[in-house]
Amino acid sequence: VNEANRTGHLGDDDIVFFLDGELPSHEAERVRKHLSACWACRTAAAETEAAVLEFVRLQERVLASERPPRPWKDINAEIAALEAREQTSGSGAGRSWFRRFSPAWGACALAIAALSVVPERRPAVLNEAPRSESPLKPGDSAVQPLGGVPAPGIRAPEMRAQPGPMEELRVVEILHEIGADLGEPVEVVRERERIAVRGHGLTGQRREIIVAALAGLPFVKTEFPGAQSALNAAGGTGPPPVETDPAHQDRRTTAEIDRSNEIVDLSDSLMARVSAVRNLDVRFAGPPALPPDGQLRIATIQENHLREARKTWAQLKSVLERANWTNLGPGPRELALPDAVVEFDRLVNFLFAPSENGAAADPAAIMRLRQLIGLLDEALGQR
Amino acid sequence: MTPQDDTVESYIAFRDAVYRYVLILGASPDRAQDVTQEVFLQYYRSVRGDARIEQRKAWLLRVAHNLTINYFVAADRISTGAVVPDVPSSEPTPEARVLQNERSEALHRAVLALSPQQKACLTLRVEGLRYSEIAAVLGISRPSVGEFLRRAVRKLREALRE
Repeated sequence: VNEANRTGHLGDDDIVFFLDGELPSHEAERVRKHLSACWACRTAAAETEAAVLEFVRLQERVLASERPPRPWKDINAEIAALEAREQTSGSGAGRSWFRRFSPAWGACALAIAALSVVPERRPAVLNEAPRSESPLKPGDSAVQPLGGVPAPGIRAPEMRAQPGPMEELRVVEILHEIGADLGEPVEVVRERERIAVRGHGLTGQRREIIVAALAGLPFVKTEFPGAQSALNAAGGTGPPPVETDPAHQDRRTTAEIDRSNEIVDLSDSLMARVSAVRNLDVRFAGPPALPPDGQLRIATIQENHLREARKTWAQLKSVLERANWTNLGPGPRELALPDAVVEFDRLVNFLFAPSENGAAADPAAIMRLRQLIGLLDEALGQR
Repeated sequence: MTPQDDTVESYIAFRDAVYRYVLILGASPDRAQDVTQEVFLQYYRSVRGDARIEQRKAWLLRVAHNLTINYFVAADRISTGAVVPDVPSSEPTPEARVLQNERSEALHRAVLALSPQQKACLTLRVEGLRYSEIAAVLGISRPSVGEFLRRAVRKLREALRE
């Protein structure tokens, strides 16, 4: 409902959006017709144009009086200097960002992801409570200042001393865009005065991607603990390979090992998606609650994850069915989804790790896996 | 196009726009120039890292916006330790300097009365960004951009009518 409907004249919004070419065509047509018929609104539109013109002229005067104090630097030289600095600090080797996770690494990453969900955030959230009287409430950036106190001077927008959930959401969104929310050992912790993004054991190039993606976001501090640790120094490409004892490997055929690897990869991928959906719920459970805009953005990320999870799930199911386990039948479905996720991961690792006593043949474990898959299938189907 | 060529091309095309925006946010010319330089090095790093950047100008202004705010937050913490950062008082903003000679008192008052978001939206609109691009720069929704602009323009219009 805009102002036009109430007064019979065009509202400010109609006029501004029309002049900016931001109205959909049928709306623009309505405004054009009204303007041609209504002197009052045409005057308002002319005044709007005049106001914009004055503002533009003011800015031109500002800028004319504020020329850059020094000549601009040669960007080619700056880039060369940047490259030289990075050469000496040893990052940026040409490596693949997306390596296959070995089962052990996948489990480790999942454990880190699980650990990173909440506990450290609690103090930060509690600390915000007394600040709620402040005119600059955390998380209100898009809404609060509209009718709020006019700024006494010229101030950079959205400046706050403490990060809120909306800033945290922006970080999570960006990590989602570069696929860094899929069980990769990257944790995001909103602390009192900053949002810490920590990556564990990442390659130099992956670290660079993350730093660039988060470039200049307010409050964000990226950290890569142990970046120069034995993990990278040894192999140079991230996690060390799983140690395999030739005596154990001999027990399985190449086809079995391939299938196991495929299942592990698919289940890692599926678990990462399911965990990501759940982590978002937990992370932004509040308080403070996110505004509707923020909730919508979270739902969008979750929908992305679930769409990918459904695809992965279809592949995994097809592999499992080819493995001829379908005759085991469904079992009782008493577990809650989060428990199922944890147990599923444990079981997959148990079933497909090379093992002396041939755990892959354990019928009880396979039965349990079937139940958990059923649960996950249901859970995915419901979303 | 190599990442370096891409960066050089962007630098030539958008350097002034980035500098203007940082200046309007309240940085000194000296600082604005430093921030501008840093924005393009960030751009180079991202392009080199295979980041897909579709709206170059909006991307550059977003990074400029964030770097400027980080600077204010850091500068404030060092200089005064105050909780709510503001432009250091020893550094009059470019607009304040120009407005001292401004004939139109009304426009002067109206611009000072704009909220930071209204001002940022107006400035980015002057830079030729569409509402969706402004929304991406400021990390707010498109309807919010429309609302900020509507109110900002209304304030300016009423001031000029006085």
